[in-house]
Amino acid sequence: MTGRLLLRVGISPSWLLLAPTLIALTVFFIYPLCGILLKSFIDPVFTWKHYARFVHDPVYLRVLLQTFTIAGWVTVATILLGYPLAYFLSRLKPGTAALLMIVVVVPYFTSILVRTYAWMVLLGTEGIFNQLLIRAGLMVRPLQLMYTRTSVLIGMTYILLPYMILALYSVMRGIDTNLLSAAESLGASRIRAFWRVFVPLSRPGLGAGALLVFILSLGFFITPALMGSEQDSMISMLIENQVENYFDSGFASALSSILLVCTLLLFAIYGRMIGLQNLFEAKL
Amino acid sequence: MTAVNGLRHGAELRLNRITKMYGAVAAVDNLDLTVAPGEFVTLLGASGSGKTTTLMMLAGFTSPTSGEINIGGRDVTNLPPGKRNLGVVFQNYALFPHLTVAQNLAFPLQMRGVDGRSISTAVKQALELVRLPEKHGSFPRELSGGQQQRIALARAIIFQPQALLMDEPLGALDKNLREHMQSEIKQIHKSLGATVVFVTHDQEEALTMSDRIAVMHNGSIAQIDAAEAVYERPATRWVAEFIGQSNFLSGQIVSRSGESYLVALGSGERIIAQGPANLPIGQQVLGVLRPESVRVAPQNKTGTANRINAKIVGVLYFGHTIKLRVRLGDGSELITQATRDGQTTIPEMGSDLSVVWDPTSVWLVHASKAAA
Repeated sequence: MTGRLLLRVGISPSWLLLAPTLIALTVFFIYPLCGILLKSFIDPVFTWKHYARFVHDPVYLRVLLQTFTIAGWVTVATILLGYPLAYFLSRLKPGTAALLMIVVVVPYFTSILVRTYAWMVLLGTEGIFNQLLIRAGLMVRPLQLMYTRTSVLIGMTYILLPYMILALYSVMRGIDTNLLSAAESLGASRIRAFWRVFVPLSRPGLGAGALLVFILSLGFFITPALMGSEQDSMISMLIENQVENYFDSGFASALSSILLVCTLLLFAIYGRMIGLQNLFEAKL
Repeated sequence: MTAVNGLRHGAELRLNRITKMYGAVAAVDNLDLTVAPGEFVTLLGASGSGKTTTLMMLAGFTSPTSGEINIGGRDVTNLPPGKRNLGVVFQNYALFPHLTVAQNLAFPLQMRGVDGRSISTAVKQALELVRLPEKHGSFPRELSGGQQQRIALARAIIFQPQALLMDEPLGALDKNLREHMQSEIKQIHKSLGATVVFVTHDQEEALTMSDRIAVMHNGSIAQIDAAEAVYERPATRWVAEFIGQSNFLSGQIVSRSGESYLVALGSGERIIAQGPANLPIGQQVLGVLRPESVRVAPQNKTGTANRINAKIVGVLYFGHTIKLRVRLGDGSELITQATRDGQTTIPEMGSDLSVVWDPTSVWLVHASKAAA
């Protein structure tokens, strides 16, 4: 009965399957998002003042720039660490690769908070690194590792690395080894075959992984908040500060909106350059 | 200008006592093979016979456990694939999906540091050779299987390799296209005078294309010969069983004159047969008799040689041919195959008749399976 009714108004019953998700998204995501957008403009009447404040005070622009810089470095670091590992995994026998993949993914299932604290223990003044350096006689006094840009980068890279590896691996797995053999038979050395054939073919995975890591980095909060200093504030910490300490939800909303726009902009650029369909499926 | 015409002087390929072990198993076992310049040799065998391993060792993707590989008089055993200057065509073509047809063809020339103008000339010539000049800017995924095959072939010869190695290159094509490509490959082979090593498990393909066929079995060459020799004068029972359909007449050698033997069959009948020159009197042998060499005739008493009474126990109708299963006096069975030429009536099950064959169409091999 209902089915016939739906058909009459031109809705396929299979759309019903989407209904729960659509309703949940509308209530818990789209509605609050609109609220944030509205709040950034209306305080209590329409105003640009929050955005004007962001533009005029160099501190905020500096934090935004810093956020992008940190996200950029994290992306570079995950590529440098993840690419060789994903390559190695993708060339293994499927069974072995699956086993090692679990090792890569397990940390992913552990709370970010726990993993961040683990790094704090390792990098602290009394931490293992400093202890080792002092024991080995390389240092007299402990190094200041915690609460620096470096510690933020280490923590974030560690936490975001699995995303990069998974994105790369899914694409690399699909690259036919015969193509490398073919390149070699055509006169390429191993290294040249790798650069001319494997790397270009892995580009969709590289793009997807980089976008994923970069965007997640932009909004990262726990790790920079716990492992970084005031000087290395990221935009998410600024937002939290506005809400928790200054009760300025209007400005916090404006900052959130700016972060959202930056993220969407990146998606758009990625879509133009590589195509968004590559983000959600491994090609080849 | 020279690029595509270059293969004209194909090199000699030589495998000396090549062995490849995988653990305790020899995938290729002490194999010797020499391919003359410009020759088309097919490695024919079932999967696991070592044919692909042999090709991969020639190409340099796999290194032999022992033995020496020689190309054009040069020892290349320890040379990486890129330095061997061999064109390889892979089973799935292995065209680079991120490059256009022209870029695929240019790849080996770029690797050799050829200048841009020569490259575009060579690419143009190569595309004309495989008759696909309009596919210049297409990506491999936009081509049909046959077109991809031809581009892969063009890419493998554009850099004037010393020889062309092909690993089941037609396996993925449908029957009509495959036959077409067979003749096309043959034609390119002839016009370029290339040395070709071709791997296949398809015996018909091997028989139609090759100058010589190396029949591979358990990592070694069971027989290497021209197509008609492999088919008509198989070296072992295994080769006779592997290539085409065979009847086996079991018997013992009674006497010999030259390559003609008199053989006493188990049933007591005596037949005349051909065989290799080295079979001793008294040797247990099998006479290989192809179904198409056996004719049926009415039973009578004219005493021609190689005529045995039989009863029809099975009739298989194939349209253009008929196969009959006949039982001989001693209980053994033969298959005959005859072309339908209109007048022939289809014989009836259970009827008595004689099977007849020409004495030159029986070829003797050792009775034991193992003997070479």
